[in-house]
Amino acid sequence: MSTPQRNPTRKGPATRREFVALLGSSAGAAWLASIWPLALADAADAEQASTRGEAAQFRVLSPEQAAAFGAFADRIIPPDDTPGARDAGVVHFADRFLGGVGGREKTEFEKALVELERTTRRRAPRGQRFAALPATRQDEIITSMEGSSAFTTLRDFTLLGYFSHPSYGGNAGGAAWKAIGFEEGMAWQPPFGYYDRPEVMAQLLPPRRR
Amino acid sequence: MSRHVRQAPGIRYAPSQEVDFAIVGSGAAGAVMARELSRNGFSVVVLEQGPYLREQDFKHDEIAISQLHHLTNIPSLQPQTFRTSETAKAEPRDFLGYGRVVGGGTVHFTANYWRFHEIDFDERSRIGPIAGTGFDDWPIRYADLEPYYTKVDWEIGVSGDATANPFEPPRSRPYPVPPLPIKSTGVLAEVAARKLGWHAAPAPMAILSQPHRGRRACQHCGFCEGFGCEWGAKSSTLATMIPEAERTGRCEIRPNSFVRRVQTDARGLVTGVVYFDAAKREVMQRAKAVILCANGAETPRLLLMSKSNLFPNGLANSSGLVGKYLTFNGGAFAGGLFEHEINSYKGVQVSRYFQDFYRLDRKHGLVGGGGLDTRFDFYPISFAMYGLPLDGPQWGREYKRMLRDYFTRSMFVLSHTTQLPLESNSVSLDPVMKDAWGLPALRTTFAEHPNDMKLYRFFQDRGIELLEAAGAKTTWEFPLDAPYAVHLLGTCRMGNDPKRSVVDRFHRAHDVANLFLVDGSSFVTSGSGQPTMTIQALAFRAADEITRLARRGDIQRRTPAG
Repeated sequence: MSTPQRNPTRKGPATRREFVALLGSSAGAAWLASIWPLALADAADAEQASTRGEAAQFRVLSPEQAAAFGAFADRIIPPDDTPGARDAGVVHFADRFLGGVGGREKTEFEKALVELERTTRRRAPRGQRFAALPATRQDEIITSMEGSSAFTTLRDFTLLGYFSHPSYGGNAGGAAWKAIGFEEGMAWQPPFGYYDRPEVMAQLLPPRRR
Repeated sequence: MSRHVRQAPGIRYAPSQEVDFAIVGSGAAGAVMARELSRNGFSVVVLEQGPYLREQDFKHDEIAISQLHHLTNIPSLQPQTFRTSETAKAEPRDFLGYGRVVGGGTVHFTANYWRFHEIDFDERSRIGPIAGTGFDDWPIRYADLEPYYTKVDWEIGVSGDATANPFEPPRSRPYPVPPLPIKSTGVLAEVAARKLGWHAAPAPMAILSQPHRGRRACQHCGFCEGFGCEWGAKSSTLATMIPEAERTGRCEIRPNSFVRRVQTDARGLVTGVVYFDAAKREVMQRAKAVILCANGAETPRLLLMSKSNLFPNGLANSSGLVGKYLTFNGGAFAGGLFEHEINSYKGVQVSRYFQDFYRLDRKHGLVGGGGLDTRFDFYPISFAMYGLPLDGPQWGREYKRMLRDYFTRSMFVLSHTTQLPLESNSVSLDPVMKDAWGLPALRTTFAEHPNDMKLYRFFQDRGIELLEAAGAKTTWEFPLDAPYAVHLLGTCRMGNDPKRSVVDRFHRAHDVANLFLVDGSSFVTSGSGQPTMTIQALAFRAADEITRLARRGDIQRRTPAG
């Protein structure tokens, strides 16, 4: 396996500044503008990553792809009292993974996003992109895609990014693990759970009478 | 995340140098053969297709395991095809899984170490033939293997309690170290056992509960199933047999070496193996004898790829049975949600197991049986993808809430069952698809006998019964058809009749005096649970016999005594 590398054919903006410039110049800026706070958050996340010594840009995702995947992922794992998928960094994960060790899966991921937008066009005739729709409309579109390979691919990427080791760029600070009660550690001692506590065991499994 | 390519310590042999034994595969069986034969004074080269990883390479990293295949066969390099019958079209499908590192499948296995029972070896004699199947006795009996099971217990390192399972076959010695500490899944299993009148026993695990033979005891991190043990407490052959073999100074472990052919001469004897090195250059390692321990899929594939004028149907295949009678262990899988935290992702995977149904009462009309264990079986990514009830939400707010409620409070019952051997179930060479070395891809043909499916159903019902008796608030089932298969068994079965088997009772190929096949492919029947311990007991036994043959100069000739 190769280590993550920059992809020379990357389509995304290199920095936050570049991203803002793209917003101003692009003919398709209308939809981008509608979702720019979210997309910008992804770019900012990537830029923040650079202060941790990581790559300072999307390697392979276009801003459109980043926005669509971020929006999709946030409906799979929405924010509540614990972070949603986007806040946990799944877009950053997907970009790093597809630009590095998971490069083989890039085509499948891109095809899934194309299918997401195609489904959106069929169901949102005013030409909006998926990321620009309100959550209830997004949920209808995702529901209509359940069981398809595009849905499975994008859900899998969401869950990979959300729950993977933080070194892959998602699951920032182990937030996803905390959200489900998983503790990462190299060594534990019993009792591991409730039922193997000595006092609980004594109650559940009293000595048998002979 | 980078994969380290390290050179093994110790002796190096030139490929042109004829060594006593070339062993293909370094897993459960290959490493035992290498350690035994090198300790007995022979020169040994072990060719392993995978890399030589060390404890420091093993991380709690699900992506590396499930997406990047750091420890197992790699679908992008090793595509496979699958079909359900010999007349169906084979479609691309990654069906068979196996270990692909030094240590083979023992590096990532869960480490359930069950002995076969007496009936696994002579069941046909007891109940008669089953029409349309290859159901047969083994050419050996439990008593032949018992000393070697005990050797596995002590030399590989198995934790357990010899007095706890009333169904366990007789043993000559207790386990070397006690069972691992009971977990919540074990307590719940015992609660259910008391209600149902079943017998929950501490699971015998090849993971050390206490230091043994210079190795450390488990520290309960929980990353056993699918992962390499960074602590060396899992008794993989990487942690046990491999270093002991290397310390003899007579054994070279040669990783990144993909064997493509077993070479034969005009006499019909084996002269060595041809392999691709890490740079995909073809190299021939010469050897006085060859031992294939490449697993129940790759051993037959290699034989079928080693055709010659003398062996037009593949090497050692005069019976036509190389690759046939493929079995796995079938099973069933069900989950239950409990009121309190179980946290079974901590500690070794299996705490308690049941063999009450190792053979079903004849009133059920079914052949065989199996065992059940209670476990978690998931890590965060795999649980999120596959762990929740299938009829519930798989995304969205409620799904996220369920992940939080279920992750720490779920327990699963995994059953392991008999599969009947059918000649139509096989591994063979795909006529079209090639792997990254340009070699014919593995093609699996497989469909269960109706008996197998009924067994799965029986065990699924017992699993639900167990969960309910343990106090589950809700239970759920998973489909009974497996998406992939491990435990690759039966494809070069052993027997006394060269027309009906591929190797003899000491794993020597009927057709080639200096070729031995030692791995899951030797199994005649699937057994009813976990096969690795039996693979290793067979390997220790085969090593004794091969040593006898070599010492008296009979390794290249078949004598009446051999």
